[in-house]
Amino acid sequence: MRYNYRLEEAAENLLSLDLEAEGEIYKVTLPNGQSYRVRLRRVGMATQLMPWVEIALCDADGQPERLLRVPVVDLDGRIAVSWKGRVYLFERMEEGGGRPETYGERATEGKGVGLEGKGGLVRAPMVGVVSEVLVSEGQLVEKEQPLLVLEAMKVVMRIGAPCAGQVKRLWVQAGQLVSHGEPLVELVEE
Amino acid sequence: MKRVLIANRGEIAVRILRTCKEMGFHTIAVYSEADRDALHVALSDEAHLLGPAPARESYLNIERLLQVARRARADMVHPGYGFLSENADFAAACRAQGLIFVGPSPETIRQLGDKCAARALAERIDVPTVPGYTDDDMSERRLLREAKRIGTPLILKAAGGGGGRGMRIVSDLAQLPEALAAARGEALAAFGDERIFLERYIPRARHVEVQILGDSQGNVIHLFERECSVQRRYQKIVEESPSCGVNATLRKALTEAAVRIAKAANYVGAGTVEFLVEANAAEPRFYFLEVNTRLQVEHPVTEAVTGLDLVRLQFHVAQGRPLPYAQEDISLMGHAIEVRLCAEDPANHFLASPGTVRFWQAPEGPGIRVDTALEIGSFVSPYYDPLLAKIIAFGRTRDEALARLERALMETHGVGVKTNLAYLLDIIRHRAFREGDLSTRFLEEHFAEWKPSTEPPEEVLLALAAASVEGDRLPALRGVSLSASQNPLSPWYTVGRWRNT
Repeated sequence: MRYNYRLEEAAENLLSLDLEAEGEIYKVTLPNGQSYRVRLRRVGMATQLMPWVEIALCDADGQPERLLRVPVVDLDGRIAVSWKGRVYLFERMEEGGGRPETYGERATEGKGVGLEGKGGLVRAPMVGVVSEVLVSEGQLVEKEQPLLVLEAMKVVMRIGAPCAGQVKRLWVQAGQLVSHGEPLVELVEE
Repeated sequence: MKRVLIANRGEIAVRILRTCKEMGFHTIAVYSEADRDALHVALSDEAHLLGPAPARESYLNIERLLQVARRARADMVHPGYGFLSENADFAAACRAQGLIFVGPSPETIRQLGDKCAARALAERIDVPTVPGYTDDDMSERRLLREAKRIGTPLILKAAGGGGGRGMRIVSDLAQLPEALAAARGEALAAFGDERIFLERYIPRARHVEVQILGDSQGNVIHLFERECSVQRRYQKIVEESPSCGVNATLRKALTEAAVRIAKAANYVGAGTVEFLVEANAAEPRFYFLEVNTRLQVEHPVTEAVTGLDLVRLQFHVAQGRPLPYAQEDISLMGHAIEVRLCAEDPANHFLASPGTVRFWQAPEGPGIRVDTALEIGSFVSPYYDPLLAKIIAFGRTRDEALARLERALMETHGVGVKTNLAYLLDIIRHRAFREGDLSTRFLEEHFAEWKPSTEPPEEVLLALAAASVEGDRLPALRGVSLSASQNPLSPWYTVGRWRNT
């Protein structure tokens, strides 16, 4: 896998990170050519309570050598990495240089929150993390049956079915960060 | 139980509250609509809404503050710094209402707040002042004539207040009329007083100030000096005590002068006498600048090196008690340095950067003190000053304090708003700063072209790589905009305290 980023202060330089999965370990090649073997211990940025990335740099035998705990925060689509007194802001770039087309922008364009007409999308009423998905695709649900649980810090919100129907498609999975108005579940009204 | 109203917000309100609690006082906080969720509100025994967010309608609203003081049955009012702390009318109104104002008398505030009157007082008791002109005739013709006498470069200053407003440096007399008009306009807007006076500009000087404490029995002691030369547009950024540009002889002369000024002004409470000290001179001369009749932002460095609680002493003398210490009880126990962490973008003209703090981790450990009202999820309001936290390091020596400060700043995380953290680190790492080679032009000379480094360290890129792998499962990292959190119409914005509890 290759990920491309631009650092805010040096937008002309594309930073490419190459990752190769070797079981649980990733071989990461940095723009300077240096390679590291990395085990992901914790990537908590979506929870906002413990927004740091914890990785272990390993040797060839996969033995952890050095633990890195680095605050990484998603800031409005940009990634902020805080390290030794400096916050680095990165923007993800597609291969070829452009910003990726955003799922949210496309899906929420011009539409409100809630169910749209017969058989439509149930959308997120707030920014949050999907902590539980309580239904599966194809399942029949009753009106007001909880579909999933959304959390923002200590606000816990059960999202219920606006009508009886069948779950046509799940747009999200547990642990996923959703923005305001993003589609959660697609229902077909019965 | 004494009831204390703290007429301020932010880190200083929190700092004052803490001492009040230690002294067994009942604490009364006040807040604006923008500060409902603020830490000083949460820590107080009771809190009262003042009004809308703009300071004029809340923290500067004397009528409203006095009304709250009556309703809350306050005995004392601590004004903190800024806002109404140097407002003689407020101090007088408190007194008229039977409240103890924790600060000097309205008469002292008025006399010392007028920079021309303060200069005249210093001259009367033979404390050196910068050659200048402060007489009543402020006509342009007279000022031009006096400017010729003083010589260039010279500095125009507002009689009504400081903080850089109404200040202009003039190196060519031909520019004087234009500079004078601009300074007058600024001074009128800021202080309601367009009087401008002249001083010779001393280009390479240190800003050194002496902390003084007076009681109502007429005793005045000093708590040594602070050096605050590292300034940007007259705003202090790094402060330390003692000053490395002050030797024992100069210290004696400075502190004696400060005590004499305080005595001449019948000073009761904590105050600061500011001086300019010629930099890099074998026998540096010093000049009186002004007196700040309040607790200073940078007071923690003095607390660190003397071991005293200045707020406790303020309350002590405000209640009419004599100072519990004589001068010989006060000694310098080490060295302390403070930096001001602010929500501003040093890479982009120091633009203020309001917003929600998404992650905040304050440094800890030996010799470190952090004064802040910041919490994860705090909204840094565009209505007030951008100070996020003061980080103070104490050590037996300057080197030890510096090492601790550098370590502490590297442990500090503030994400969500732009901060000057990296800039502060580069300042305290700079060779001239390390060597104590400071003047008020330090930042101009060494940091005018400052840019953050554009080479992310390997650790940062590895963390980014790890986040990217995980991000493939997170829409946020696929590019979904979370800008809703900055949009006042979004529930994320209005949900208030829920954002961060």
